[in-house]
Amino acid sequence: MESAALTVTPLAGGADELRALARSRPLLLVFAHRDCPTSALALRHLRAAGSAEPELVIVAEEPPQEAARLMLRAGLRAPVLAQEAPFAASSELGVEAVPTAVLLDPGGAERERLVGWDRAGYERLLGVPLPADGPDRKPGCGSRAVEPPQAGGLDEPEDMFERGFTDGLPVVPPTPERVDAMLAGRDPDRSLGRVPPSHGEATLSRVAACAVLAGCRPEYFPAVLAAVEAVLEPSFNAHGIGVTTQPAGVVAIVNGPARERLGLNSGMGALGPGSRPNLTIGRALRLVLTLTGGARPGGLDRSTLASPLRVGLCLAEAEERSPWEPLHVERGMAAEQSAVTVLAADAPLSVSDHRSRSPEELADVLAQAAGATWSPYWWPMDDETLIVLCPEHVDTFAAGGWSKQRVRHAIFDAACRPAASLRRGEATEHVYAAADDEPVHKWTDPGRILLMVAGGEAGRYSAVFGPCDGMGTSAITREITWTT
Amino acid sequence: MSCSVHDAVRLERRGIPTAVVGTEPFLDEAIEQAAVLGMPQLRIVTVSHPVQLLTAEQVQQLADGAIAEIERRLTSGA
Amino acid sequence: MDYVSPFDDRAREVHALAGRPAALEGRRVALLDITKARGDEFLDRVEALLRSRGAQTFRIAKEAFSRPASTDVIEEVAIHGDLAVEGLAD
Repeated sequence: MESAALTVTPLAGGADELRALARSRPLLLVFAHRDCPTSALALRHLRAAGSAEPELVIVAEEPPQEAARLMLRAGLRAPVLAQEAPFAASSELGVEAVPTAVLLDPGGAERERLVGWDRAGYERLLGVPLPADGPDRKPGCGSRAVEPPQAGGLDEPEDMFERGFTDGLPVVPPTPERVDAMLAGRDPDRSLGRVPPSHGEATLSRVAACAVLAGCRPEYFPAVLAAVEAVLEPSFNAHGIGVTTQPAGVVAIVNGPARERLGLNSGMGALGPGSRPNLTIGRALRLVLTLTGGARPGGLDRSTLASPLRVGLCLAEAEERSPWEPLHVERGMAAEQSAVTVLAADAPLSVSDHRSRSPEELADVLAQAAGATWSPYWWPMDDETLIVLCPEHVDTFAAGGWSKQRVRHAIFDAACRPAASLRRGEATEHVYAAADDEPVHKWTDPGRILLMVAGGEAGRYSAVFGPCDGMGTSAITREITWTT
Repeated sequence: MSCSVHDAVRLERRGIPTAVVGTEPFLDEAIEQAAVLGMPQLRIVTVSHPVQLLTAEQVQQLADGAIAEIERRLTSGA
Repeated sequence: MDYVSPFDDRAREVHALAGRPAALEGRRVALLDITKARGDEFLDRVEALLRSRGAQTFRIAKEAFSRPASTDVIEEVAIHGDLAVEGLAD
């Protein structure tokens, strides 16, 4: 089957060129531009028009590249004409607002027009039902042919949705004042690099816009910056993570003095709602990947089911509650440095263990749970798993005098089965090629297991963040610096 | 699919006509990815989805069904 | 209302497609395997069909399906091939 491309035709002439298009069949011309939320709403609803008669043609008051973006964001496939200044066609046809729909009969005479969004009107002209969500009518905005431009019908929270500045939840509008406050004197044009998959440039201005959108306070920005730098490291593979069918979310773990300085939660409810820095820092990182990087769900982001992790997650490690060295120290930083570690992972699997009395038993329980993540028989995996140990579980290991490394090795050793028992369903070539009784572990190496401590004092629930498969992604740790 | 479109755009810019073959559900992604990389006229060849559980013979049939389109993508006269 | 956009909306250069030869006869076609399962079988058949249409062929595999091809792989295709088929993306 041949794929269709999105074709955008520049409109060189004025209204006569449009009338000439309606040679043998009626045309519905819909005038729109990118800065009008009502236009965006109309174009989205027109996806349902299909191949109705009259033929639908979009006349974008935009240069061709922007016209293409307008159509891609709306998900609408229809012929589109790109009209640039001085917008002769709009002027000659008296189009003063967008969206305006003009119905031309065969021969090019105007039969009727609709100004603004009018669902019943569009349904009548197209002869098809249109989606019932949203308002029945909504005023539009000034067309670009009109001076001065008017911003009619503005409803700011809704405008953010229509502009696509969102992950599906309401956002804080990124006004220049809010973005300046977030930047706190930093150079707005400095770039952290290009964000895959669309290679959008992560200027500090855009990253700050994402942080504002997410609801961050300006003091959180250093953590957001460090997290963005970390995911842009090539070995993180933000491209693969952004476009895969896997659930693949990103976890950001903060260590060091930044935890207290930013008010991050490492205790009760650390993986859930309630803490503004936890939720907004994780969200800001995700918005950079989705909006600046173009990994938009339903667009370039093809995650089959995704997971709540793809909305964003950030938590702090409960370092004071751990008998061991913290995650960032294990990964080469000094305890007094602040750091963020980013990791690509599946949504957390909760592991209850209220009965194990010995470290060995507990390690075994965690190993069996971890062994089932990604897919129960897909062993071994050369990919990282994060295990978040709650304080009560940590106490069990500490009471036995176990080091972190001993915990890691015990979990690795316990997640071990003979190859023959793994030959079901999604199983690896290694398992099929091995001798029946060859011991196979969940991971290729104990070093694939990352361990950290978090959670409330009461309750024996730890969590396993399962791996992404074959993404070639590695956890990355970056220092959080406070200088601008 | 996205990574393959990136490869195709680079190859086309190097003067190598490239036919990317992918399964149908990824068509929208391919169109968007090609557009954001500045090559909206890049076409991909689609085959039916899924492929993972097909028999060997069925995989061959997919190729048989796609070869004419592959040839059209790579040549001007075919 | 003026906002700072999180999108990188700068106009992008549009690139032309490579020029196409009239026919496959005598052309060297690189079969670039993205290494997802069943792709090699698919490319095996495509290779046979291309050869029957007069093309020469060679096989090359990406290091990882989850990333764009490395510069080495792109160079290899560009130096030794006239045309490329990349698959199978699912």
